[in-house]
Amino acid sequence: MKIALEALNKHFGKVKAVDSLDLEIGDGEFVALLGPSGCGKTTTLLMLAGIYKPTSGHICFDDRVVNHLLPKERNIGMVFQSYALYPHMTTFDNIAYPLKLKRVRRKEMKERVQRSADMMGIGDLLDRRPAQLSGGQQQRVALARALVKEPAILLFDEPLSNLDAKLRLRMRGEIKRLQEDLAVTAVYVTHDQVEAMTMASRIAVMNYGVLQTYGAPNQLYDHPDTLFVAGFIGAPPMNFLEMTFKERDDGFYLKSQALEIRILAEQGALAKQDSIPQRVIMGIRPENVSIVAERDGDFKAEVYLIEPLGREDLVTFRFVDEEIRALVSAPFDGRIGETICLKLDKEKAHLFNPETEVSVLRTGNGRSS
Amino acid sequence: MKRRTEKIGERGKPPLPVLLGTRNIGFSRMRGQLAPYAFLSPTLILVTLFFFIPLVMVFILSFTKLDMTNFGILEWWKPVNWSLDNYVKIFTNRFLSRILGNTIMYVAVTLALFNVGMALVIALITTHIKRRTGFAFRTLWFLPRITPVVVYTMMWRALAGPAPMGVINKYFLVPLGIGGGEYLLHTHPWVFIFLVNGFIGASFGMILFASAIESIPKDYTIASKVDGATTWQTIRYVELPMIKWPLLFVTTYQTLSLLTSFEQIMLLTDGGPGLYQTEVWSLTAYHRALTSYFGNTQWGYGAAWSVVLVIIGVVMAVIYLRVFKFRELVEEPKIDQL
Ligand SMILES: Nc1ncnc2c1ncn2[C@@H]1O[C@H](COP(=O)(O)OP(=O)(O)O)[C@@H](O)[C@H]1O
Ligand SMILES: [Mg+2]
Repeated sequence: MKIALEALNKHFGKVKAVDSLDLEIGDGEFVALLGPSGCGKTTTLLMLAGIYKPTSGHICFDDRVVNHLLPKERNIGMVFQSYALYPHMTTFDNIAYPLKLKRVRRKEMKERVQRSADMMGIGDLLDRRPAQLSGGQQQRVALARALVKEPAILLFDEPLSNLDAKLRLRMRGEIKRLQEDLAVTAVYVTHDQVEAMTMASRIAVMNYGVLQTYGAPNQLYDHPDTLFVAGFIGAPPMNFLEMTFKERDDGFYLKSQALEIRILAEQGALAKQDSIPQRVIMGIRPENVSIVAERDGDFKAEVYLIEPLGREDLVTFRFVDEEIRALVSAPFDGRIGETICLKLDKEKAHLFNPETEVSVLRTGNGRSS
Repeated sequence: MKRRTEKIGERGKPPLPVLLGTRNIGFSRMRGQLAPYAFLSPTLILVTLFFFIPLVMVFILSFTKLDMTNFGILEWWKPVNWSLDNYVKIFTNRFLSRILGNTIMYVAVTLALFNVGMALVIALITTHIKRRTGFAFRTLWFLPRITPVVVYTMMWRALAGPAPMGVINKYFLVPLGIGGGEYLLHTHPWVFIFLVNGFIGASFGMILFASAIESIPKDYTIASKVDGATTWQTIRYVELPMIKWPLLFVTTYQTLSLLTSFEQIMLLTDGGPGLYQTEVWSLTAYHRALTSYFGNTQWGYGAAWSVVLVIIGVVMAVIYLRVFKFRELVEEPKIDQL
């Protein structure tokens, strides 16, 4: 089922939990709503489910406005962070609950519960109570309950946040695979950008109830529209340096107290149009900072911290009063306190207007300021 | 400071006299053993004095014929003066079935309609409307409980009064042409007994149920609605099972309270208007033990009525625990894999 949100608002008193949200989700698409805690993700989801009535705006399922429809008229399955399994019911009764409310006949109900429990690999736990299940098992029961009525839309509200790291990784894969097999439209709320990146075909990034950007994971990673998106997506996060923008005869330069680098001509041309008082924030991902021999370097910095990540080491450098982090192949052979030459991959640099916090390199399909 | 560390370090062994001095040894040893009791003593004394001793005394008294006429003469504490006569008298009393019937009706109807029934209905309504409105409404329902019981009961007597004075007659029944304006406590004593007790009793359950309902995590009700339930189905299948504990508690507690409460009935009808018409068990115990038609208050006989009432109460409590499957409520989890 296709979903379209048009100028959707939800206000709680003075709090604008969701602020004129426009979003289109294709049939069978897996979309992630990503943003920090309190940015209005759950509120958006609950409006989709029909629990909250929008303050204004429209929610459309397949071009039909559904604002007035009750939750039970929307054919939605939902999975919660808390699992929300009814503690007084057995696994069977939990999964069967949506069917019981639909007055499905006993025999059919049994078959469907068994089928959806088997699909989640919990077919042998049907007589247990939630308190007798582990977190991972509870999550599977919750999924089975959401799937049993064959919903047109699946909603997930941070479903993996309560699981341990290993289990989270496994469930991540299973949910994604399941959604692809069933080809059901899914909206997946998370504050974890890795989850959003790995699972979704498109990510909607929200902050303070406002949609920041909406696009494919790679698009958001390679060409973030705003400073917020640039900082939020990617782990370890992007480095930001405040620079002044200078045009010289031989090209465009970014300059700070400690370093001066020449940027690409097309970047410079765009920045020239945009950065008003010649100030600009440069963003560069840790993997685009490399250690080089002295003559090739852009600047020198002192090793401050080394964090081994296994395949790579994350090294924090300090120079003057700034900090920059680099991902270097392990093992990093420098020592803390050592001064090392660094080079930035200028092609991968991002430039942001410090006032509007919008990318000066934005590719046109993002939000304009 | 030094002494303190020594004492702690040498726990169990006699502390060094050199360091502590002779007077301290005995004191600290005694303190170790008696300290818990010293802290408990205020409560222990109160409980012993005002609960345990009276309980034992009532139990003993129930086997004696102690009354006002032989007070100071009868040696009630001596087993020779004990017999089962009082109990025989109770169970051969020709009004026993009426008193027992009255008690069962009084407890069952007040409990079902008000203390649990109405309490649950108000709790459900006030938790499913706007929070502040619900809260204000519940506060209003507390008025009968915080009004002094005599004042409150007298107000009801005034309400029930005969035609020109009684509010109910004057403004409701007479204009509607119902009844002949009689004193309603004479014509419908039970209705007023239920109402007077119920309006006090309902507020207790209401507060407990409302707070229990409000503390149900929102995810459960949201999940239930997304699963396709109406509000009523959500209440029926999700919320009510989740407040099983308060339901058990209120039912048990209020059964026992109602079994032992007689003050409202005493003030309203005093067991009347007909012979034993509204007399309940606890009121009988009171009447036998502390008031008398003949000037002799039968303490022993009254005590026997109370003892039977206590036994009835204990039996009821045990039955409730069974009915509500108490064991299931405290079931152990069994997790065997991730
Ligand atoms: N029922 C509510 N009443 C009042 N404020 C609410 C309610 N639900 C959410 N909010 C507020 O709306 C904002 C967004 O909340 P929410 O959608 O739960 O955020 P998220 O799920 O992204 O963490 C927060 O500021 C929160 O305090
Ligand atoms: Mg949330």
